[in-house]
Amino acid sequence: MTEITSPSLLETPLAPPPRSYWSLAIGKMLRPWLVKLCVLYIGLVLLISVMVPLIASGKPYEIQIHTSHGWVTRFPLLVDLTTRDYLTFLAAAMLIGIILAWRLTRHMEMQRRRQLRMTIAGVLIGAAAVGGAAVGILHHNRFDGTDYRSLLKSGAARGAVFAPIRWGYAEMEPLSKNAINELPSWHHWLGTDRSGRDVLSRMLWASRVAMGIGFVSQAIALTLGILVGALMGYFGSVFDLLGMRLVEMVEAIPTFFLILTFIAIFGRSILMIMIILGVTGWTGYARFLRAEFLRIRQLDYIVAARAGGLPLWRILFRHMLPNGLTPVLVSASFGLAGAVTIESSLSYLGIGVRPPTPSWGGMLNAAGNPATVFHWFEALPPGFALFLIVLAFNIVGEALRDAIDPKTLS
Amino acid sequence: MTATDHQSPKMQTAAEPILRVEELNVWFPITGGLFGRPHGWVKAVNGISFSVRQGETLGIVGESGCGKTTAGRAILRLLPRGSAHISGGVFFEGRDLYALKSRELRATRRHIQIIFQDPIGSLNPRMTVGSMIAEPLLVHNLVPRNNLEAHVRELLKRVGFDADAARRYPHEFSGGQRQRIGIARALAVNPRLIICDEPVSALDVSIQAQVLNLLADLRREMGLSYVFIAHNLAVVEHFSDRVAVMYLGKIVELGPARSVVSHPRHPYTQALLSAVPMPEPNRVTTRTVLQGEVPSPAHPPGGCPFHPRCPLATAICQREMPPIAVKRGDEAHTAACWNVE
Repeated sequence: MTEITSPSLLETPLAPPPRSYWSLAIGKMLRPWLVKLCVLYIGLVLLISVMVPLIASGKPYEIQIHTSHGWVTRFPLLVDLTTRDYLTFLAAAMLIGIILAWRLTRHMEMQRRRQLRMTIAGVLIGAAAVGGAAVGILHHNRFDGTDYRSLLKSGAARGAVFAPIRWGYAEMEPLSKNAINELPSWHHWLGTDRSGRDVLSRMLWASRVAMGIGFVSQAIALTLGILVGALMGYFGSVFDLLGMRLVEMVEAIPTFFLILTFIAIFGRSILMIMIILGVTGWTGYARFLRAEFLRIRQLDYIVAARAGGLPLWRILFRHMLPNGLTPVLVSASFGLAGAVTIESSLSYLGIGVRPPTPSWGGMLNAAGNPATVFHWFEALPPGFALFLIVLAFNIVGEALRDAIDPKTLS
Repeated sequence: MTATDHQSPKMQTAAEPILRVEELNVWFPITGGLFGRPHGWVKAVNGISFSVRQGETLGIVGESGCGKTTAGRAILRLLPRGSAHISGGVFFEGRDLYALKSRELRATRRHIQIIFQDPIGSLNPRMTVGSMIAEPLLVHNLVPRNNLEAHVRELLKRVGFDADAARRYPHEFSGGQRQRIGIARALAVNPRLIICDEPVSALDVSIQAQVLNLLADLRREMGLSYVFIAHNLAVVEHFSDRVAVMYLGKIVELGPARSVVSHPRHPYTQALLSAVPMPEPNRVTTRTVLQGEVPSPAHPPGGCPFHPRCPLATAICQREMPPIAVKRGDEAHTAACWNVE
């Protein structure tokens, strides 16, 4: 390169560090305290739904049992975890690690950052894959029917370390204690239900179903919607015509009745509900993205990207998608709320998850069963939990919509 | 230039210009009705031919809507596929761009770059300036990865920024600064021809000069050729070697810049020139003020498209399109008018 022609053109360095559009938008979204609270709440529920086997279980973390060889230390809770629990932990740890790595390397020089991020992501994904394979091969689910509480009481065990909530979701108080429909007490913080099960433990376990349905179904829907919407919007003409007809066809399917039909044919399955919600729920996202892409594709920076000879996938997913994604994300947060509502409706009707797996809708159904006496402390927690999580999703969605409004984003 | 020196422009034979456009037509369909069949055409570009020699700058002037921007996009084959009926030939260094397969097209495109009018819309708001400039370098493997950062810094320095600019986002820059970022992005792939689509129209007059001088310096130092599209004749005259005047999708006059401006042949060029304000309040000028509106390119008038507004129009103008021809004097100065002697 030749030397710079005119020194007067040289910029003086500007002081504040640059902020991306996303960091500006998220910063603005989080400004009201209510939104902060909602995001924290959703995060907390997500964390609980992942960690719940470690939080609420009747099995102690550690216990010493008297056997013929003397006192032996056992770890019943860890042994009791299912393969799916371990895989969930691994996936969550990997995601958190990647998010942390991205945030920590934010201000690095472009090239080093790229290398470091790729390395960290590679290592984390590799570790998760190896860990997952190891769990899959080495770990076997087994049923542990030991009643550690009575062992402790009889003196056959000692030194037990329990989880914060000492009840599993299906664990009943013995009939002899007549502990059904108990009011909240020190022993059962939210009381017990009609079968003598701890309501708080069931509440926490139920968050798993709600969050799982919400996030998995919307992840499927987003993937499909983004793919179809991007192709329709970018290519237009025949793609657009066929894509929109497909959208209209899928929109004509009544999701709720489709789920009922599938349950009638194939039986209950939470995974099936997730997939049906995802496969029928993508049309809104596709429409949004199509509209955005129709607008963006004629902007000069896309023309510049094409003139630069960039490959198609790069133009679609690096240049267009980040600029067209925001309305889709806003609608996704409402979609999450919708999926949670549908699952709880199904469970309320008694065709959601299979008992004794708890879900908020199922607990509501049990509480409102006209054949038995109504107890407010049974109905209130699941109703309130549903209300709160749907409200939180909606508030965050609204805040995101306001935050990305070009008239107010500065 | 450092890292991309091996890509230095091929020597052109005198016969083959860097860009040759032959009878280029860009017709947009007017669709409607039940089946969306076209029932008419907007002839945005209607049979234009010109060529640009190595190192030369060709200016294209005309009113808004005369098809100059469309022509620029069509040269780069950048109009969305299927959106227009395009015929004629665009030859870059002798190769027909419209005959290339998509892979070859992507490889060829980097030799022709484009600079846009709108300094806001032409930069991706979600990408840092550095990654925007680095991206085509990475995709075309023009620079080794470990040299990328330095190369981007050098390009930014070339258009007057320091290294800090690479980390910033477009919204942190002013219009003139963004236009220079756009220039840096175009330069990144070491092009031979740059199509400047009204690069200074959206800028302040003081900034205009800055950007024009930068473009002129680059032309001298890197041997670039430009197609310079503008509606401001004064800017085009200052910047171009030759000028083409477009009206309703046709080139009505084409010649050396100085000659076109000092001795315009076509009545439309004369009218355009008389509309340029002169900083001489005492000079008495005869102004040619055009009557009427620009006709719609969907229904261009028969014969010479300018005849409804032309002060010189005669019977033949309504019947037949005049050929673009060399008139008296200058060999290179051509005009399409029946009434030019």
